[in-house]
Amino acid sequence: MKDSFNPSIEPPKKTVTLVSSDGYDFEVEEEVALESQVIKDGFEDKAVDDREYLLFNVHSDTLELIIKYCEKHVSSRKSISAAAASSSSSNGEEALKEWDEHFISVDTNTLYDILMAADYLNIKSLLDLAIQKVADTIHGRSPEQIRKKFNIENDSIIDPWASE
Amino acid sequence: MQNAVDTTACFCRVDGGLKTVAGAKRFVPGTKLCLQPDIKPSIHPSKHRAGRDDRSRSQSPLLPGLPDDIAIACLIRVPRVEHRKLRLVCKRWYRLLVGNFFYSLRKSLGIAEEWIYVIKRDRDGKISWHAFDPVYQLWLPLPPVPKEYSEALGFGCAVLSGCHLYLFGGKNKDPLKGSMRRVIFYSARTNKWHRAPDMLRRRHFFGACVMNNCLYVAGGESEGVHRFLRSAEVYDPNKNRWSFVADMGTSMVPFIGVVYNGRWFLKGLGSHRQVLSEVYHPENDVWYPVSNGMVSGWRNPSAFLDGHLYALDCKDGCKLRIYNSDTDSWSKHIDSKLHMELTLPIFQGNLAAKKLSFESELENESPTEIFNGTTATELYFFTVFKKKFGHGVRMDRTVRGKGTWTAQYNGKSEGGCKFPAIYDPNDKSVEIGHWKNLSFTPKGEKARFVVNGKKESWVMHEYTLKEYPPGKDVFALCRISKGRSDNRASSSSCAFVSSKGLEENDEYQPREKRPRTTTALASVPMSPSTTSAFNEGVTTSPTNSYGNLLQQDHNQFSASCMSGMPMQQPGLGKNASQEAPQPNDTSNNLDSLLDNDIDWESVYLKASQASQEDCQQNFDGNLLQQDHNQVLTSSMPNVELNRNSVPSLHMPMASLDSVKSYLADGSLGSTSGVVAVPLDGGLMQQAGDENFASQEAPEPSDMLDDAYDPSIFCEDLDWNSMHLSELPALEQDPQPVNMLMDFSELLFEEDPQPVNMLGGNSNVDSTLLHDMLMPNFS
Repeated sequence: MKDSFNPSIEPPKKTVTLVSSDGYDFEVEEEVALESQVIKDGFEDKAVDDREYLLFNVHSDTLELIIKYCEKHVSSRKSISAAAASSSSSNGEEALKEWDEHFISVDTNTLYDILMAADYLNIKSLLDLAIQKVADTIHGRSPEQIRKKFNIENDSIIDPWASE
Repeated sequence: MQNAVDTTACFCRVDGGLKTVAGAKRFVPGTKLCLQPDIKPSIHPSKHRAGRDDRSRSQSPLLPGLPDDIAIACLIRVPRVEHRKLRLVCKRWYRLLVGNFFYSLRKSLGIAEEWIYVIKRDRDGKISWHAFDPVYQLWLPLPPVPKEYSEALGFGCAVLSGCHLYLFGGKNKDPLKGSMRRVIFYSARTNKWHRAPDMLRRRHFFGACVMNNCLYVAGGESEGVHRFLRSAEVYDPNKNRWSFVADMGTSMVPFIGVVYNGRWFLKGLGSHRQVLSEVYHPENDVWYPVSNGMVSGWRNPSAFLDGHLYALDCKDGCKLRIYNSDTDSWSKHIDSKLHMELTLPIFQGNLAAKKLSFESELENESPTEIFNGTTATELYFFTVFKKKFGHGVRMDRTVRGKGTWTAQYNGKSEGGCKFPAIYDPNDKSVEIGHWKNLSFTPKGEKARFVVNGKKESWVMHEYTLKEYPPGKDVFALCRISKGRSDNRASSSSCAFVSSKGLEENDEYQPREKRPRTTTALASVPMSPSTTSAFNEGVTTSPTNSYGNLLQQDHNQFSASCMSGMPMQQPGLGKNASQEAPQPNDTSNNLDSLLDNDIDWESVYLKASQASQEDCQQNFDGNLLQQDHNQVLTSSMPNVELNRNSVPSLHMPMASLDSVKSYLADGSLGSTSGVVAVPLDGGLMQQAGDENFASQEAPEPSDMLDDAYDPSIFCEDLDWNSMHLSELPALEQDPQPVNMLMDFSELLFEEDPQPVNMLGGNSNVDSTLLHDMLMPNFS
């Protein structure tokens, strides 16, 4: 299928250029870019035969993180399947999980950026990771702590009704 | 850049509001596809979003900085046990959680969590409901049952629409009021009790079941001329109306019933105390007498699960029988041999353990005797506090005939005394309990404390929680050691306490490695006087005001103290200890660890397992049976008379799939000991898709959610205002109830298949509905 994209023009290592909202170009391997379901869909659509994608909603800082994530996942998937093929035991998945955990341990704003970018690009695993991170952040906090953490205004639900 | 843009596929979103997108549209080559991101239905309830925008007015986002759809995706992943707190964060979160949308989303994503709801009747006859979260192993009390049901007998309960727990009928304790038509329900979303339309007939001790999300009641008793009832009626929550169905062939007080293959079987006593069986075919609305092998061998509460019909057979323990439709007979299925055993594998340490029987030893033996024959220097026990006087705060800690355990204290009574606190491991500012030093005073001697390390004495450290669930026994973890007043004794105990929640084993160090006195003490908010008393042998004589603080009632124990999670207490522990004291029952042993290196992690794990097992044993063991028989004896003499020929139990049975256990379930017309209602968090179950058939319902229903205990879980919950605003309305003002009815009707009318909400149609925005309806609350 990928051959349909006029292979003669393609460099040996297929790459895709992603353009962030602030105008930076990121050249990534096709495989990495295809982690995004949206880009993948575009690939599979014959109408799109170019190699550049404008990501209007993704800032370069975030895009960098996203690419880092995708690259990591692509490479570790390879190593895991290689390990599985050679039937050697590996803790690749655990390591990846740890890596994910570390990756997503960012401040709330960055987390939100990643979350929205992952949503926009439809990278399911990253989206799940980020969403779960937010949920975990909520977990175990008191309402007041939640308000503080997420900057939510306290419009206590109890008082207005009680006073009415 | 411009060139590049010209040939670039556009990934714009449709939101016209964003500048970038507006700009992007210019560059979209006409011949090329403008790719929209595949909006994932799960987190893009687009209509929901649009609807909200229309009326957003001044509404702030759910999570500032995130679009609401993503915020919802995050929020639905928060475990259910946290939901009660989420509701208090802000109005929008409250509305989100109270609405249909949130839970149907959880259900459709497969992350709904089932809880079990259990009814408990204490010895005063007061009813309370508790929810059990199987995942987090927590017991959570529901708001108090409205007054008319607080001591009712013979009512039914059922779950309808997956999120409403109904109580109906029954007999008021007040003989003047007698049978009730009253119907109330608890909504898991609001965590409140509401009122529903009354039944058409007053009745108690009737049969009830749920079929196709309709509630059927039949037979039973009422006051008046026609004491035994033939009539049957049905309640459809969507129509919010009761209506009669065909009368039964004969009047009957059912004692067991089950929905089996879409038919409702009832077995009960007729007006002449003869045993009758009838079956109801809902499709034809007809009752037939029935007398096949299923009914004739059917004596105990039963449940229909996975196509099989099971019945309790647990006169002596927990056995199950299964009905074989081919041979038309019942056969033995499971014998768990659990019986009354309360033995919990709490302490099975890595060192040689010695079993101690509380009955024979702790209660009656002095520590010297207990330790006799062991080389251990410390022993751990769970014990039930026994109050010295009925409602007082002083605890009885007497060893019969041998002496007393005397507390080291600061001169106040036990109730007002500030003992060193134990803190929540997660939030160091929250006190979860206290610990006390006690020493053993042999009979005839004056109370004394450890003296200068010369005289050997016995020291007990008693760890208790700050709050215990109302109506439950108070458990304490005791550590008894030879109380030389050397550093070792005090440092070890302090190190233990400084591990805050008792379960934070990573802070615990084996005794050899524990910091010596001072550092450990520094981390404990321990009163200086206590410390000095220990280390310098200052003796005080607290006996006069503090009384004899002694341990006596050692026949019950629980893992809950251990874990630092108070609600893990087995809900029926009280019944267990009070109704099943069996002096010769070796099952009341405590496996106790004599050790030098307690592996606290394993103890903790075992403790949680133990409490789980305890719960199950409570569910399916004799405890219920005893409770029930007692109830039966007192409230249904006619059944009691026929005990030998008819069921000895009066418990319907429910099954809970998620924990694979069978739960006794006592609602049906009985006075109920325990009702187990498996619930999870979504909307109504498709009818017939699974029959957790028990009398009263247990469809695997959902989302009864959120009971909470403010005192323990959430310091800033306002329990009173949450409930006072609702409960009075239940008694006096029908208005809110009507409103709620409208609410549910609206939901069902506009949203017949809420699960499909994601598909983009039938998007009732429940928060919108709620907005519309909420003002009626005032």
